[in-house]
Formats: sequence, C-alpha cells, structure tokens
Amino acid sequence: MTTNNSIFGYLKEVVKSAKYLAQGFSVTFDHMKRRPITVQYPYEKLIPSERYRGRIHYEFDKCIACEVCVRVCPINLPVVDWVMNKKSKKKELRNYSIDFGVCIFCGNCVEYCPTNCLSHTEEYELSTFDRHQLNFDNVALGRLPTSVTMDPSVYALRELAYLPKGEMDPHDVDKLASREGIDWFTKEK
Amino acid sequence: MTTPSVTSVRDLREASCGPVGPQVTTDLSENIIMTSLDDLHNWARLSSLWPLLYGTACCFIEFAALLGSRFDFDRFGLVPRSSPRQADLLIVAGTVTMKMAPALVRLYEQMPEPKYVIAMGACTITGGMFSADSTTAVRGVDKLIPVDLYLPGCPPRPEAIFDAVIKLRKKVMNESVLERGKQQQTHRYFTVTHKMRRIDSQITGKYLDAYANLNQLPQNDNQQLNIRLPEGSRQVS
Repeated sequence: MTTNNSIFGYLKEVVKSAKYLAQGFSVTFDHMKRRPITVQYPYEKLIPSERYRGRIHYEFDKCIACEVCVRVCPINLPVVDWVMNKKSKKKELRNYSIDFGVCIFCGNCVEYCPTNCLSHTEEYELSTFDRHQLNFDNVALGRLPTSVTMDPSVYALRELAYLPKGEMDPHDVDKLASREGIDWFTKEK
Repeated sequence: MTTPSVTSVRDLREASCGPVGPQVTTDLSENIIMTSLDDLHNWARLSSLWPLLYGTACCFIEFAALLGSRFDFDRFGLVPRSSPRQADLLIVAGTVTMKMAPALVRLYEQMPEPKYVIAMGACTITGGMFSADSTTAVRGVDKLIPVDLYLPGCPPRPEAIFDAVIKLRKKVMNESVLERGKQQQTHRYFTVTHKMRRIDSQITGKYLDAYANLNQLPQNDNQQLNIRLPEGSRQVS
C-alpha cells in the first residue's frame, strides 16, 4: 500500500510541475507571436508629441526686442542685440541668439513671448562636433526642421499614447485612426 | 496658395533625393569589397563602441532607456561596460561637480586608447542651468577631458543619443591608423596664463577662539570681559 501511495504521490507531483512548466511557457509563447517593440531608430522614428519641447524656432521679423525671454529664462540665456534708434525712438534689433549648449528647453521664453516669435520645433538631433556650433543665431534659429512625417527616408511611428484603444503595435495602425479617448475628426471626447 | 499634402511633399522629396551619379559605380561598390585595411579596422571599431556606464544625474535615466528593448542600443554594437578598462566610449551623462571631476578624469584615463567622449546634456557641455550661479558645477566637461561630440538637451531624448552615436561612428570611420598621432589633442586642459596672485586666507579661525574658554566669560557685572578685540573696533563701555 505504501509503495502504491508513494508512486501516486510522485505522479501527482509530476503533473503539478508540468502544469507550472506549461504556465511559464505560455507566457514565452505568447510573446513569440508579438512583434518586437523596438523602434529601429534611423529608419523608424517616433513622432514627437504635439507639445514636445524641442529646438526653439525664432522669427526675426516678429520680434520687438522686449527682452521678456531673457527675463523669464532661468539663466538669462537669449542674447538680444538691439540699439536705440534716436531718430525714430524705436529699438532696432540687430541680432538674436540662443546657445543650445546651455538651454534647458524649459519653454519659459516661448510661453511669455508677447509676439509669439518664439516656438518649439520637434527637432532634437542637435549633436555637433564643436560646442560653438550649438550657439544658434537668428538665421539658424529661423530654420525649420524636417518633420518626421514629411521625411521620405523615415517610417514615422506613433508613440504609445497616440495609438487607438487596445493597440500596442504602431506599425500597422491606420493613419486616420484616432487615438484613444478623443475623435480627431469630430473633436469630441 | 494651397499647401501641398504630406504625401505629395514626401513624393517630391523622394524623387529629388535619389542617388545621383553613374549607376555603374554604385553597383560596383555595393557588390565588390573595395576597401583598405584602414576602413576594415575602422568598421570593426565603430561597430563595437562599448560605452562605460557613467551617469551622475537625470541624463542617465534617458541613457538607461537605451538599454531597454524599446530603443535597444545593442543594435549599434554598444555593449554597456561597468569597467573603464573595457570601454571605448564615455557618455558623460549628468552634472559633473568639482567633487566628481577627479573621479571622472581618472575614469577617462583608465580607458584604453582609442577612446571617445560624448558630452550628454546641457550640464556637461557648458554647465547648463548651473552655469550661472552654482558653486560646485564644472562648466563643461571639456575643461577636464577632451570631448568628441556635444549632445545638447536637458536631458536629450534617447533617439538623440542614437543620433550622437551615429555621428561619432562617422568620425571613427574617417580616422586612419597612420594619422593617429595627429588626432591626439594637444591642449587637453583649458588653461590660460592667468594673472592671479596668491593671498593669505581671511579665514584664520580666530573668531572661534574668542569664547572658547568659558572661564573667560564674565561671571557677574563687576568682572571685566578679558577678550582682545580686533584693532580699530570701538570699545563699548
């Protein structure tokens, strides 16, 4: 009787461990049918979110040289080079520059600019071999970057928060499908 | 004027940025190995840039995002190393303080040649938001170690680090073994012949001695306080 009992107990243990093995492997096999979530960076790029604070864009013609951007900047970074025209009693803007090696992209200047001549772009690939190339003058600040969605060499991917409900893979998502929680076309929640 | 649609702009760009030049050479270069030993050597080096896991602040959080499967920097041959003796690339992620500076220089000097440095984030390029009034931040790690690539951002996106790595790979590809002597930085440390003079410290510690002996404190009003006051100070009677 005792041997019979021990054999039965052993078989019970075998079945139990097989169940745990199957449970563990079910997780593994579940992952096998998924696509890797890796963003293949130079070929695929994530579309930065709509309020992404990238490199600052500046419009020289709109600027009134009020220096509000300098005052709200935590480190007084923007350089506003203006002279007073004594004849017309108006400020004449000569140059404007921001050093992105120092800028912390906080967006205070963009927020407080009274004429909206400052704005954030979605550009973030700014690395240079020379530190002084990071000091952008008004011409460099006025350039617009190539948008990820406009670049033919790049497959643009939506970030996870911009995918439709229940969707995790951005590759095969319908371009017109709205994100979860909002309908982009009727603008209704 | 109507704005062109996104797809039409894409098509236009695609048509205008195709390969220009004789097609034969492109076919040839894609199928036959046309290279020198230098190129082979550089190709081997650039495809295995092993970075040192160096992080002192929030930039490392973005750098750590690269380690994960979302961005997966092993695709670029970047294998994280915890020892500077096995690393080729130092990505300085995070603020470097005066106290950390000797350790950073030591880590850099322990790395074997050829070595590369990416200064990641505003703090390491110029001191960033600490550049104005901090008492401890180093204003740019290029005052301590030679920097190959400056990567701005506070902190930069993980993709921006990839962009920096790709640009660094371009630099590595252009190097030659024969020109290695020329590539060495001659002025490693930023020094100017300054005109500062050494003066004695104003902090002598004398003010601490003033009340150190409790017996000198007046016990009652009749006793005089026996403290030598600094010269020129007004005696209160």
